[in-house]
Amino acid sequence: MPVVRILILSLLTLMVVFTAGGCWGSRETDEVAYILSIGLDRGEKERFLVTISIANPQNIAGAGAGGGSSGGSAGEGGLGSSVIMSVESSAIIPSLNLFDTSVDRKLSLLHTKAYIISEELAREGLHDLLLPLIRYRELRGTALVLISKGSAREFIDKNKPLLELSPTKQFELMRQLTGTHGLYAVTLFHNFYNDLKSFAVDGTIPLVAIRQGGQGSAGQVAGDSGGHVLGYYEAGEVPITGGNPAQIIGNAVFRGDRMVGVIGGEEVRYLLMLQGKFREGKMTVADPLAAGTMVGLLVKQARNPKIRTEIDPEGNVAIDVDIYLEPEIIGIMSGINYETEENKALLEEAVSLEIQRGCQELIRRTQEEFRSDIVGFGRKVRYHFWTLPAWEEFRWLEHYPEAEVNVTVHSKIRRTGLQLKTMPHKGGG
Amino acid sequence: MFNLKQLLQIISYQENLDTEGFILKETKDDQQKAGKKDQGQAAADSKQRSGAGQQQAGADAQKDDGKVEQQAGKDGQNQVSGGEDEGAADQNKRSRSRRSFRKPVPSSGTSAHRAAEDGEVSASLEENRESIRQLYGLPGNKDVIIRDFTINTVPPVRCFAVFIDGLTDKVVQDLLFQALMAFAGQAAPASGEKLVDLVKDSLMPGNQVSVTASFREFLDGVNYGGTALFLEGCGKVLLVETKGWEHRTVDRPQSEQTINGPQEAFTETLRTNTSLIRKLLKSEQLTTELLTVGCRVRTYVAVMYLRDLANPDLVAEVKRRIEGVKVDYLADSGVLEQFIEDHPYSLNPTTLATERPDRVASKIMEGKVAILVDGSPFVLVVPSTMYEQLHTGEEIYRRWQFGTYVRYLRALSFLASFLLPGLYLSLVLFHHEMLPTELLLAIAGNRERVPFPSIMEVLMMEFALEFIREAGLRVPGVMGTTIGIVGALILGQAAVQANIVSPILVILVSVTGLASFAIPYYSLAFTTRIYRFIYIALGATLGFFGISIGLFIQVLLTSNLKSFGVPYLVPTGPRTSAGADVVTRLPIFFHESRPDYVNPQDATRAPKVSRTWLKRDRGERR
Repeated sequence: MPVVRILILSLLTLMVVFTAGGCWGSRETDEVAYILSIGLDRGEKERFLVTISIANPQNIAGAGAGGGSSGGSAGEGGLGSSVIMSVESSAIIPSLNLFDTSVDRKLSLLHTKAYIISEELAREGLHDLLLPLIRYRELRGTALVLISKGSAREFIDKNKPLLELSPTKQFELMRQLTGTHGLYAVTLFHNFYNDLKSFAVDGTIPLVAIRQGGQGSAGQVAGDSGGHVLGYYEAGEVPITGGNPAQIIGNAVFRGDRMVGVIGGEEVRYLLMLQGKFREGKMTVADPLAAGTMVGLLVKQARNPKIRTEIDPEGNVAIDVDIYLEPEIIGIMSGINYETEENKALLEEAVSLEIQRGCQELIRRTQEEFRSDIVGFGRKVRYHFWTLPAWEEFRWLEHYPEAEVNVTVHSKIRRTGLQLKTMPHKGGG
Repeated sequence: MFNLKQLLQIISYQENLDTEGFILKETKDDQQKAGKKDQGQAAADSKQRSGAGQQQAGADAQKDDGKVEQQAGKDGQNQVSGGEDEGAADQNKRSRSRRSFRKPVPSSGTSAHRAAEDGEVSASLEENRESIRQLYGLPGNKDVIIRDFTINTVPPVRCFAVFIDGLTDKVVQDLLFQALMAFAGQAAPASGEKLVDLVKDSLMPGNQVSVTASFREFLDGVNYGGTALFLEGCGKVLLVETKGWEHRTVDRPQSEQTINGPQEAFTETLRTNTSLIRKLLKSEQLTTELLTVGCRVRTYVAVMYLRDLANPDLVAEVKRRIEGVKVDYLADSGVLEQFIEDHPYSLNPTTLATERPDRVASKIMEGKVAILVDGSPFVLVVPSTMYEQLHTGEEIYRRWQFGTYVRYLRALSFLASFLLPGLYLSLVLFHHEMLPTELLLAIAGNRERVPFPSIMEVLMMEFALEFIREAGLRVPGVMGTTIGIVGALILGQAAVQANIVSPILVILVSVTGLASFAIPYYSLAFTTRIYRFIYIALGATLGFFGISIGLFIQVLLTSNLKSFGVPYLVPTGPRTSAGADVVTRLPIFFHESRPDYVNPQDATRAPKVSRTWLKRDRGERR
């Protein structure tokens, strides 16, 4: 009876597949606790103070589904949408087991969207901190890495995005939001890991902080020219009152795996422009025709910057950068008709000069202050070397501070907003 | 092992002679009566079936001799039964294996009946009457009417007509009798043969009249609604076609509804169905061959094809398979499908059953063969491919953009109908990282209040849906609305509020159900319904890995199928020229050739330029 034999054979095969091949690692969603963000501080007794924020799905689903007639009360009483816990441990991943002594579910890093590292730890170096995580199976390479200007625990504790039901949505939106203002440059876990390995570039990580102090007294205006105050802040200094005290602006600058300094929001914009990653952002420049007034502009990067590098036999590097921008006029305080051809050229000139100055200043700081190539000029310089060993031998990152960098900005105002001609108001008003 | 034996003894069938047969419980009176009757009957029957009686005795003797002698007994029995008719031998075998099982004696299998059936019509009216009495079991059989009358010739001729009440058209019959009894005023020739010719040629007004001498043909004619006319002194019988039984009129399609296109469906009458097809294909090349299937009751099976288009080998193979079906009764085209299909053990159907004449016509125009079974409103079309089973025919009637869109939608629903629950389970159980965080947390949050593991949850909802599908089909018409209410409550709000399932699963199961309803061919939808549970098992135990294994095996199994020699997954299974009408339905003027896999006699459907009114003649440039 071949049919019977085939049946028995296929049954045996199925049994083998299910028993031997079956991954018995199935986990129901109610057996797992999802860590949404991890904070890392220096511990007092052990090496790290690990802070985790665990999602409370009941609250998230109950608030979102609208079917919370039966379950809403369970969520509203006690927990919010996430639970925050801390433990001191000598390593990060083993600390998850420590948490498990108090959490009744298996902790999972599968949905961890942000790793927040305190400035203190970052200045000591991130190498031996991040490498074990990279190896770990559950790590999301697309998670954000953030540097907290105070304690990471405090940031996780006080960070309460007001509009979001899900605590991770904030981190997901951060990635998009940088495209609309460019006040911080988002770094994903695998980006930073690649920068760490690279001989051509140094990494930056967005800076987060909890606003300290009370109403509006936070920080001092750090701008030196007074012309374009927008964005001369670092995280925690933006004078916002009310809302979520957490702020993300500026980036921490790294040399190798150590944090060596901080650049403010405006400087991050110049960094993004130099890298060609700047999407758009609102800026102000001093009115070239009417002193003391401002012209508001929405600046967009027209196309990728042109970077030409030259290297002479002694190893001196000269870099020419051409940045192409397309500002769009938002507002003209003085009422001067910048839509006319000659006035437009004047304004373009002013914008170009302003941004050129800013870029040069940023490069000066990276060369003298940080001594780290965060723009990634090394990626272009690399083309002058035939083999990888030769390139590694060259030690670009040590040569970078001596490199000669010239930035030229080309601006072209193509759109003037919804108005084609500025009519000065009648005055007397 | 003793225990096992005992257990087997307990659960195995043991005959109880007292309650065997149709009598559930015999009282003592019954037994006494039965004993008397048996004796009497045996005496009465002994004349009729003496051979059978002998065998019975022989078999009884063997039984007593025990097992050792059985082989010898069989041989002896064979000798005895040699020369006897088959029915009796059959009965004998059964009686031996089941001992004294009281089996009713088959009445139609008797040799007298056989003799009458194979016999020739006699010249004597009385002899014929006796034969008919035997054949139809008269006078017990009340359906058969024998009408005696005389034909109004000079001299009058005695005759009788035989027909079955209810199968004939009374109006036609009245006309017939009128003509013979009243208006036939001609001189009758003395010879029987000439008499038949006279009646057939000049007296009888029926539109289909045939003359035969065989009782077999007589029976076939009368059983199919004909009226037979026996004439005195004539060894022939006249068969007049007077079909006119109760039947359903041509209605709208019930299971294959469309918006565009013809709105007629086949009915249960074979001749109506053939005419519905012929109405669409008015061609002298359209051939209808009639075959009969069924040993005890004959059912007509019509095979329709275009003589100048269908591959003769295909037609021969279809006819060979149908003629090779040996069964006592063919109930429906679905039964014939199971007898002639290539792969009875596969889940996928390899023939296409449709109730739409326009669809059958279009398939015949591709060079395929249609099989119509008398009494079945579903027509089989062979060979059939899976892609064809996902078509409705309506796509052709619409503009090509709409047809293509619907085809892709259907392809999606085909996949969703068996994969969706399995994919959900593998995502929720194994691959949490593949869901967006918010969605995962929403699923997880809703699952928090559900006390069952997710596989239970899915199975409960799937079975609830299956119950509703089956109940919706079976529920009496007056209670039809209850299904909607109960179904919506179970599958909707209530199950969620009772914390038995999570709301996301309700959506998932309903979408799966909808997807399966979107598959136009009911048999194929059934296939996916069953495959779905396999994928649920695989997804819940092995995750995506299991689903990949399942898909791999399913593709292997499916691509291995053939329908009348044509690969089931053609033109992708083995890659052949796709044509303009597989999934993407190209504009109608690109449908230039017939499907390659049917090997039609003429592969060209239309010339390169089908729109000759176009000014720019692309054909000339090519």
